[in-house]
Amino acid sequence: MSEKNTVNVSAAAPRKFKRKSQLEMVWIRYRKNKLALFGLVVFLIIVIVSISTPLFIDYKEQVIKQNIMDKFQTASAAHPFGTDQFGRDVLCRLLWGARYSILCGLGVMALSLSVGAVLGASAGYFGGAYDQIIMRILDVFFAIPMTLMAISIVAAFGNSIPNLIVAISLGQIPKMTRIIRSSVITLKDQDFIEAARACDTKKSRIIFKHILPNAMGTLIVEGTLTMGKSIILIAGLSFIGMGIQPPAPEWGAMLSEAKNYMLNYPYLMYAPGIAIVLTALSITLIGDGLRDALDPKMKN
Amino acid sequence: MVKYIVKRLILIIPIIFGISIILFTIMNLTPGDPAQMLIGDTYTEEALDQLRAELGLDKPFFQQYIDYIWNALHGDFGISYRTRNPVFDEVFSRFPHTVAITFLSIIIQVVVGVIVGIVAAVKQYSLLDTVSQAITMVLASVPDFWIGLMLLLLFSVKLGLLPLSGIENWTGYILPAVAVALPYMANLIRLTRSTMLDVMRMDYIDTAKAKGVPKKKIIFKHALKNALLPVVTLAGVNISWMLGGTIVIEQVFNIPGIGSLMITSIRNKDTPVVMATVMFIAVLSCLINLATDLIYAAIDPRVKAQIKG
Amino acid sequence: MAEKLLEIKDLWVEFKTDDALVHALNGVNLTVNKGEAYGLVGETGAGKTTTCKSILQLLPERVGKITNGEILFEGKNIPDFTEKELEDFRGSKCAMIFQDPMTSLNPVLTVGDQVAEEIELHNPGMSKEDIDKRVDDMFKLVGLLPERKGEFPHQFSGGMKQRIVIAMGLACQPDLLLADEPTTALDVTIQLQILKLMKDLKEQMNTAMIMVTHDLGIVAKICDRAGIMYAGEIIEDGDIEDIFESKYHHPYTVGLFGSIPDLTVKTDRLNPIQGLMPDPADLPTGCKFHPRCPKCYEECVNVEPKVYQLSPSHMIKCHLFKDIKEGGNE
Repeated sequence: MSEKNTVNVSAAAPRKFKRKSQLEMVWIRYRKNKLALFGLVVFLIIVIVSISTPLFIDYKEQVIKQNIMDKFQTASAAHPFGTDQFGRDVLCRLLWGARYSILCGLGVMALSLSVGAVLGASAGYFGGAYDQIIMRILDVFFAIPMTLMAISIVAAFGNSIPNLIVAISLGQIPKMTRIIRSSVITLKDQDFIEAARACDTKKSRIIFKHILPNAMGTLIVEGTLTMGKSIILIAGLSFIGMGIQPPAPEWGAMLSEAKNYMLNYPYLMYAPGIAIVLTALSITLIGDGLRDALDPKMKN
Repeated sequence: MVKYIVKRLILIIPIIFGISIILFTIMNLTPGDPAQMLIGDTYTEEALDQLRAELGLDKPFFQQYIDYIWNALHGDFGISYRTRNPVFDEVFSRFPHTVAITFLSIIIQVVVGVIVGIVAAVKQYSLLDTVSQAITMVLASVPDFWIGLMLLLLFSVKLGLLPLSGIENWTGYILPAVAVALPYMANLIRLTRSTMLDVMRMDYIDTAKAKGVPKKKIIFKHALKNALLPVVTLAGVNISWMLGGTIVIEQVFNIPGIGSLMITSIRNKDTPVVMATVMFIAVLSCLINLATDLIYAAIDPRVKAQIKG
Repeated sequence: MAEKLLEIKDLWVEFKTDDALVHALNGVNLTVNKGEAYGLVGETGAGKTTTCKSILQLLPERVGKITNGEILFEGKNIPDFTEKELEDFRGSKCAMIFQDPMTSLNPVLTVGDQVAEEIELHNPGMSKEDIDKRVDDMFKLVGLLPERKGEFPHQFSGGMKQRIVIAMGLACQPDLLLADEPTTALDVTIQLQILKLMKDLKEQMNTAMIMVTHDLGIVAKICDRAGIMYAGEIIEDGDIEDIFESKYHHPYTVGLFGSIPDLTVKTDRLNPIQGLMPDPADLPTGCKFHPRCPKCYEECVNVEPKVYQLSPSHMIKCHLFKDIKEGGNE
């Protein structure tokens, strides 16, 4: 009797149950982080710019056409960021340049994430000889410095954007695979995977339906940070002439050209550099914010 | 311990083999004939064939690779296609510059990174912590070559304190080393701070406090040793990255290091030089990796036990 | 009446996190006399560990805060101590044994070092040889070989680690030892050894002790007095006879005893207390136990009960006892 009574009392007591989906909770925690929110806004602006530039900027006329008469103009109403050594408007070139960084960054993230996820999840799940072979091959790639690797590939196959994406991804895949593999190995022995296995669930289904979603947090965070790093790397490659080539207004390539006029026209180096920093910073902020939001325990 | 080191050294061999295969394939199976590039615009077919034979390029790909490995095992890394000098000399004339930058840079980043990281953690939420976090956040997102350019502008162009380009004396290494160090340093600060904060939350820190250990001693005796473990690992990784990653910064400062050698060699399809350089850097980074693990073991008795066992 | 060593008066502690304000302690009153063992019993999350950490001022900085009350040690209020006074107090007058021996030793320092450090700190000027000898003595006292003091924590088993932690706690012969579930993380046979060891040491050194546990058996074996904690309050407090033999008990205490399986009676199922400990960020009104209390009535829901003194040594915080003995005090 008393048992029933207790149950009733506790049921009658006012209890608020917050029913929110996982995604909502993540967003609520993310939203609290002012810096992460700032990063997201900046990043979205850059993405919108990079998508919409063709609507209001004419590549042939405004981005690469040379007007030697107008060269090295300082900031004015017509050219808010001035003009470069060929009289091209720096602002137009800068806005157009966002396309390369965002495209390459997203490409590297997508490629290294998907290859890393498949390799890492399968290696971690199946283990044994398969795991050994994959990991030893990746060890080899891991031992080649990333920049050297990228340069060799670009030199060998040419510096088109897809080649660049592949070249940089190759440097990121080993690390990505390792991270995913280790989180799969940790997850593999947990009870809910055991339960799925006990129900005779297909292996591929266990990997894709049960394990990968649980490793998703790590994946997203690593992917974001990779994107930030690869944007910097691409700018670096273009700077030394192994990436996207002038006259395309990639930010690294713009810096490379500007370096020749450093002594007299240093202002040409400010804008592209700041653009790279802002883009990479906004992505880092998003990555950090996501990490805290996905795993509140990790927060300091 | 010796057994462990030997085992690790043996493990380097397959990695180097793997790298040689990958590189040799990339360099050979792509369009472009090194002999053609070397000989210039005016040449006879005969001379070209002769040059090809001289460089061993007339043999089939597989034969070329076997020959290369065979010679390399005997300490002969061939001659540069471009300069006709022994590859060994080519690489080692460039290497000191890269090593100097890397060495200077790692000292800067570890010393500053660890100190700032500890102070930020100990004074969490203080103004200093907030400021250093903001700065590291930005620094971690700045390309090193742009930092290099800005440092050049400030110290060489505006203030005229340091050389503009090239290496005449040691001062030439300062700016490149700082430029390379800053982004890595930012990561070291963040890592030191966060592991330090983690360690300070551990039960054994409470135990130490409950014993009446003064705060300074808790930080330096009880926390720091534990917090340094991941920092050692990251510093080791950073050295490896820098050895192969100063390419861009060398271009900024016109330093004749490994980076510029690599770029010219890759452009000229100078396979022997590319192979030797990358393999050399890979061996070095494996050795640094091993050294990191040994340092780790010296700090953490648990790891030491594993290595001995 | 024995001499008071520690007196906690109306202690309130809050934890402020990003998500919530957690009311960890809500007016704890507790007295420990010299040389006495006091058992602090309750479920996980009742505030036992927080009470101990408050005594040593080990609440997490910026998060945990004492909002009200006094912790008097030999008549002096510990929260008013300066940093220096605290360092002298910790370890030498009051030591703490933490719950999990696996994590409470520093993995990169030898165990001998960790014991010696405490002796060195509180005996300035003591020679190295004397410290060494004292460490050896402590090791022998807790049944460990002194030769092993140069080893690192990972080379010891859980039970041995706990012995080291106890050696550390007793190294400076403190007046008060806070033992926070010292045996929970150990297996049953080791538990017995450790408990016996602690009991012997307590009697040898005449150390007062607060024994935090959720195991009433341990309290019966070791303690002179005990308090039952629930949701940050002590809801029943008394001599060991009061707790184990009195016919009057707080319904929660009754529940605690009821949940111990009785081997002499054949039952089909265990008899746990219904429901869960309330969320300390969202405490119930009135008596905090009312949602789970089988004897709950209207008053319990709305009015916080007073503390009723049933005998000079026995007190209960529950509305049921207002008629049994008049004149309860706050």
